[in-house]
Amino acid sequence: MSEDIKQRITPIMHLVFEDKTIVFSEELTAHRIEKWNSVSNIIFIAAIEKEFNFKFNIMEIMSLKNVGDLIRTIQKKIV
Amino acid sequence: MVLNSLYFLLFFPIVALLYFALPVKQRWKLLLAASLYFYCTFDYRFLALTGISIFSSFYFSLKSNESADENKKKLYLRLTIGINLLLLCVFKYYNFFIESAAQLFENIGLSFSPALLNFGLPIGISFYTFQIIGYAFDVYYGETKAEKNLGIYSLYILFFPKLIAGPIERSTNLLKQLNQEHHFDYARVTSGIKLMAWGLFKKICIADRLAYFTDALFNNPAENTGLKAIVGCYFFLFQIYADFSGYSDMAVGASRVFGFDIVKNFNHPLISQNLTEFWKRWHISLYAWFNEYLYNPISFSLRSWNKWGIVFTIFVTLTLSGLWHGAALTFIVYGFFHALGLSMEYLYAPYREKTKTMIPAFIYKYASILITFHFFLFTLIIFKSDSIAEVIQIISSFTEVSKSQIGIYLYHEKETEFVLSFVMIALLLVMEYWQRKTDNYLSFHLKLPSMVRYIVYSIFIIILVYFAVFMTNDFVYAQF
Repeated sequence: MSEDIKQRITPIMHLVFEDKTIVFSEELTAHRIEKWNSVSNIIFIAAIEKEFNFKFNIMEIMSLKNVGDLIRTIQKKIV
Repeated sequence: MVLNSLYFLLFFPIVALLYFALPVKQRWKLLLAASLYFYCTFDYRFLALTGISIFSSFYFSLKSNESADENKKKLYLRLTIGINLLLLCVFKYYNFFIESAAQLFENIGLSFSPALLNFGLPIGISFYTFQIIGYAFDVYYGETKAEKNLGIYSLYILFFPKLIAGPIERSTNLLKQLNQEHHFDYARVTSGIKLMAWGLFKKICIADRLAYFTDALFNNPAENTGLKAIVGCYFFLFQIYADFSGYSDMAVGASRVFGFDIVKNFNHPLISQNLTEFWKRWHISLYAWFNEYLYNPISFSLRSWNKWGIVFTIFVTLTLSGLWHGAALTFIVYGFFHALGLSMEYLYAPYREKTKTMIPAFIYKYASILITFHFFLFTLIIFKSDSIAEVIQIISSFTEVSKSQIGIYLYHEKETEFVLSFVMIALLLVMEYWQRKTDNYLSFHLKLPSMVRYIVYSIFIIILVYFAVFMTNDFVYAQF
């Protein structure tokens, strides 16, 4: 399932962070992507919610440390 | 006891020597005792008040950590935030709001005499209150475990190098390090002392020299018009940068001597190409705090408003960050203008990207730096002025430049200081440039023979003492 999630969020990352060279990795963090800032982060979160058709809660968002955490949170939400 | 006082120059080496003489496990106790003493040199009467902040946040965070009930965790978080914000509001903002209310009522014909509080301010209250609230959030979000040792936790809040003016330390950084063992490291200690010396130089040789001219302007704008007003405003930008980054260098350097890495508050802000970049480089710990604990939750909850949710959140966050500096309308307007600038930057990002492709890259880059620099300069006039009327008075006087003002005789009684101020600003910029090129900018001399090295140290000390301005000026940010 995580492979499917990865395939669906990678194009969102490319679009929101305006960089098609971003290579997906679970260790990826905002610090390593130039246009991943506090503004684009909200746009990214909203785009993921739309793609997977659910809503995050604030606790889930504030405890994310990297893309791996995001994948695991999405997995829990869509089972 | 401020960091640029002779008293501190005696206090610090004594604490450092005792620190390394003690067994490793006992050292935090000495730092706590030194920090309490440091606090009391400002006003010991507030110690009980700061104690309430420390003890309440310590206790509620422990309870939050122990509880599995989400509602109880929320309650403990709210109690910590409530108690600490209440104390901050009473001591820092009560007079401002009650006087503003009285003014408002007077305007509609209902006058009353407000009862004002004349307590003064506990030292560093804005900084430690935000650090405590950040800690409570970190415990609530599971970012950090609640500290079980009240002494270590108190040291985390009161650690003397950062008590007066930050940086606002995350628990994931300093608190973690306070629980680790730190051994004597010669290279670390000397690098910390050198950073402190450079910070002291920025404060007493650059910032305090520029203060001659900026104080003259902002204390009496009617007498300092035209070129004096223009030069005074530019000088204030460099003064506040040398002052605050000088303090931060001293705080980082002093912490490094003891073995701790605290966050850098500045990262070459004057070369920012836009405001978004500027706020990642200027007063980093404060704006990281606002971003983490205010901007992110609000913008997240308003994400259905799309871009207007982001704009609204920018205005709330930046205006409150302006108010954080003090209880005055000018600070609110300062924050508001930064919010306006950031919002425009966000809303017009596609047009800026288009412009970028239409003109040569180096022109775009330097034009962006100049625009950002001058926008910041404009907001600093608001920041420094006592009222909006004074801001208008100063800016409108820019056009009153007369031929007689041009030249080094702009300030007849202080020609030498005036010329020296430009030399000091140039030195600051050269050092900034050097620092961008290498992290070891204060270690260039290490490859020199030891004899030459000691000559370099001696020359630096002579220059420091000779060019220092001994006005016992406090750091600008110490008042917050």
